[in-house]
Amino acid sequence: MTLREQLKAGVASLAPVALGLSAFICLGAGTALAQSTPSPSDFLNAASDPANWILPAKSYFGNHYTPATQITPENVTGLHLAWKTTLDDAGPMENSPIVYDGTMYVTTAHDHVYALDAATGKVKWEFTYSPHVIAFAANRGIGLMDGNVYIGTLDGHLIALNAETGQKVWDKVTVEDTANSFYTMAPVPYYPPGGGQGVLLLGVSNGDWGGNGKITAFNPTDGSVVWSWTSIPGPGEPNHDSWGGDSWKRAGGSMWGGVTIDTATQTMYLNVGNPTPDFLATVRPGDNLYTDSMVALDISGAQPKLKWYHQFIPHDTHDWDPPMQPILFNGKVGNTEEELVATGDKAGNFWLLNAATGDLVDHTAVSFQKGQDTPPSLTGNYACPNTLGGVEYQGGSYDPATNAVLLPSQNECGFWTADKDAVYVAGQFYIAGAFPKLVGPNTGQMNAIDVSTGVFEWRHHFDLPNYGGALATASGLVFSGNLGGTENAFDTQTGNILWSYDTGAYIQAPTEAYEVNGQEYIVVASGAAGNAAIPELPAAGQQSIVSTFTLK
Amino acid sequence: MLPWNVHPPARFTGPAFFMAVAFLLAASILPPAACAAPLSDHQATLSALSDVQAAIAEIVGADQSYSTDKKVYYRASQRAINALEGTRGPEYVAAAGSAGDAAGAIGHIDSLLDRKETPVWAPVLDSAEANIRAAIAHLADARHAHELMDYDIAVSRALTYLLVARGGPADIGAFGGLEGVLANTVLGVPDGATIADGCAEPTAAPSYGVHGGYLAWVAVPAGEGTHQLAESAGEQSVIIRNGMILLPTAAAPLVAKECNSHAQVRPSSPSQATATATLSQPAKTTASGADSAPPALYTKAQAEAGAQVFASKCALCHGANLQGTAAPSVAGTDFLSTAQHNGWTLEVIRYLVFNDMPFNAPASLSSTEYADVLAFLLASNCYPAGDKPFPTADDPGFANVKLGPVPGSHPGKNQFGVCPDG
Repeated sequence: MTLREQLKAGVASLAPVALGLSAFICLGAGTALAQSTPSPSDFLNAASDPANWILPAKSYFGNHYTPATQITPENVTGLHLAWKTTLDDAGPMENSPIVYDGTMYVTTAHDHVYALDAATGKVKWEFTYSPHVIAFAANRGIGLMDGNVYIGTLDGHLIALNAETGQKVWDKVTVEDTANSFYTMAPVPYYPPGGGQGVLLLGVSNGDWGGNGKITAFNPTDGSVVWSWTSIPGPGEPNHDSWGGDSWKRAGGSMWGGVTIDTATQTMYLNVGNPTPDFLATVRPGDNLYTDSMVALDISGAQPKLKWYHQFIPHDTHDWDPPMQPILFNGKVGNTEEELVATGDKAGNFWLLNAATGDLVDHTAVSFQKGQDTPPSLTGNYACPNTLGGVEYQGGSYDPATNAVLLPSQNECGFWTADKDAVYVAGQFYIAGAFPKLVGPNTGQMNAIDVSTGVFEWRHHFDLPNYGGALATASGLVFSGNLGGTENAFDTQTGNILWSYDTGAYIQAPTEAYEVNGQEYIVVASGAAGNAAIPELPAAGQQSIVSTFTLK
Repeated sequence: MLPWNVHPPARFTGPAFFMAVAFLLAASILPPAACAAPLSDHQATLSALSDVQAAIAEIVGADQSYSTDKKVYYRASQRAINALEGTRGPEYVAAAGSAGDAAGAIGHIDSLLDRKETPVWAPVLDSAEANIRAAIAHLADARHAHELMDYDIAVSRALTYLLVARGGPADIGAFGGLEGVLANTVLGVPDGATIADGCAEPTAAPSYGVHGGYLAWVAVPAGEGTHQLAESAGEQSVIIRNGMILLPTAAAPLVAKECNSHAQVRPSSPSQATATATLSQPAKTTASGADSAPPALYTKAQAEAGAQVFASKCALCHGANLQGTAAPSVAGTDFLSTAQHNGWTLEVIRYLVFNDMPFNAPASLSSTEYADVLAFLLASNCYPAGDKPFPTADDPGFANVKLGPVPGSHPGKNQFGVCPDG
């Protein structure tokens, strides 16, 4: 029986497959212990596993939704701190912890990696690093695969660490230009469902620094390139003419949000970042494809093939890209169930597309929008949201029980200025202007959007931004962290806040759920505010903290 | 997309100004014959440039072949290495043939540097050689690349170094490279040409105005017809005077300054010659530049005031010790080596601080506060204080102040390379 046949045969035969493959990996990789990292079938079935959280957004579907049901609207008031671990690296915490078999892997702003006991918070091992920071110190997590922990770093390295010990296995510079390129996203492990070489999917952060976006599949054994796909079409490629003159050469379009995959069709859904220079759009006439778009790529072959694209904001003038990982789900539109893909952008839009065609199903404005048709001028002008407003990277969830997408959004406005010229300086922003000056107030919302109609089922308004994404539980709760530092639990049906806890540091990271020894935990990271700092933030510690909560 | 599409395509001709000079030299741009007579300095420099250009053309040519045969790329890498290193290099493999000549770019540069005195062009060639050697290291990697993408990455890096080694005629400093020394120093004067005093006006054409090893101008006979410069390079312009066309080089302002301020010709030592243009020497030449004094650009009182502004407006993201928390480091070893590597000038940093900082409230401080913060940053990066305050208005001269590690010893410098007390 081939691996493909075994996988097709269903769940019953999956365990032997996993064991067989484990044995193979043990032989092949020597010291690597396969049972320390998930198997191909673990990844395929990640969405239905209440215990482990092995991909940044729970599963390939980008849906922060847990089947765990111990914590409910009835007992959530009894939720209390299980453990809190302070990590010795200061900076904003944007990390999605990866939890597998009782071990939690977290990262800090300067690419330190920690393996924690998921039940106690005790540090099992720590990997420290001190990279050169081009602009923002941040890391969004690790990939766990083939006995190793993988991290992409701020100085453009892809590093493999032994998952059991934290010892370095290999370390390779995988960006093309270390002056303007770095990594913040978590490498995403992916095994083709038919068997074959697994890969790590990783997008480079270079868009706002004069690079062109690229997502690459790396071989996890040595960091060599299996394939890569560039978001800016070059000469001779379709849609190259959406860039005037030579503007495509320094064009942006980073793909540094998450990677959503329909494993049945091997279709990858990716959001592409903003065009550059961000604020002086006159130097790049045209629609600037595929920036500010969602693209669907067929990744079944040797090279990705573009199936469709949907551009949300043609010729963006304000850095309003869609940083949120797309959510792929089957939802009801009117009376028919459709395969849908949902996302949001920094201009304050929520988008619902048909997953097969990319056609627009619905669009909802989730943030205050103003001045969006006027590009930044030399003397400056106002527009809303600013570059930290709208929908940010932390993502959301789809709740099948209410047919709603749960999604936070921000109301922030800015005063924008453009420069006279766009000048590329290696290692500096290539934005031809200044990031917007905050003009306040800066607030946030948690939204439940009815997929059937595109209308809000409920909204909760906060006095502060609410970046913390949304974790929906099968038991009817939504968890989300507020920038001020408070973790909240909402009733999915009503939007009422049922439980809160102040973590003592600013929350920008998404919330997750996992189980150890049959006990359910909620986890969220908090730290410095970084570039999300606003004048109205309450005083809080600058330490990097991981907090977990449980019943009893 | 292949990475080198981002770079300008390799050309045998530089910008138009260089073309104008090259036009005068056309007769001498012949491949050096395989003869025993040693090449003149001018010819050796041209040969080194020709080898670098041949190496660039070789790897760009392989890229444009779109070949699916790995051997095409491996062979191009080896031929490029051979052109750069010459037959005496450790990576030389005769079987591949060479894109250049037997001496190789390094052979020619070594022959030029092999002399007792240190001409003004020596540190530039030193730097070019360091960049060529770095390129060779990446090309050597490219010979063993497993797939095209790895090859592309290695070759793209090699190309970056080669473009710096080739340089440009508008830059008289370490980044000028081979084109820079040909356009701006005596190395650009063809054999047997008329050499005149660079401090004086030309009296005949064609002639070359030289002072202290620098080439200040080239005089071209004026005649009927079009004298077109398609692209101006740096500060160059065309001056028509006394029936002659005068082409001042990028080094002309430097020469003019020396002519005015010194009764006698200064010795052409690299530290003195380049101190006015660059604050710091590239790593390869710090030994010879260690005694150069970077200019004093701020007062101590300003730096002290700037420390207060930094603490309240910048330290939250850049860290109390300037090593960065959420944002990058702004002083010390990491910052200065990045600044040097990326070619940042004081103009770049000044513009960024005045216009883009603080991140969430750009241009929100007074110009006095911004000047104070820049004074504090210069002090923390071990630049010396002086009597003249850092200006609140822009100074075009800052575009010539390249940032990098300041030579010399700095008492009190901490383990991050920061001078906490200025």
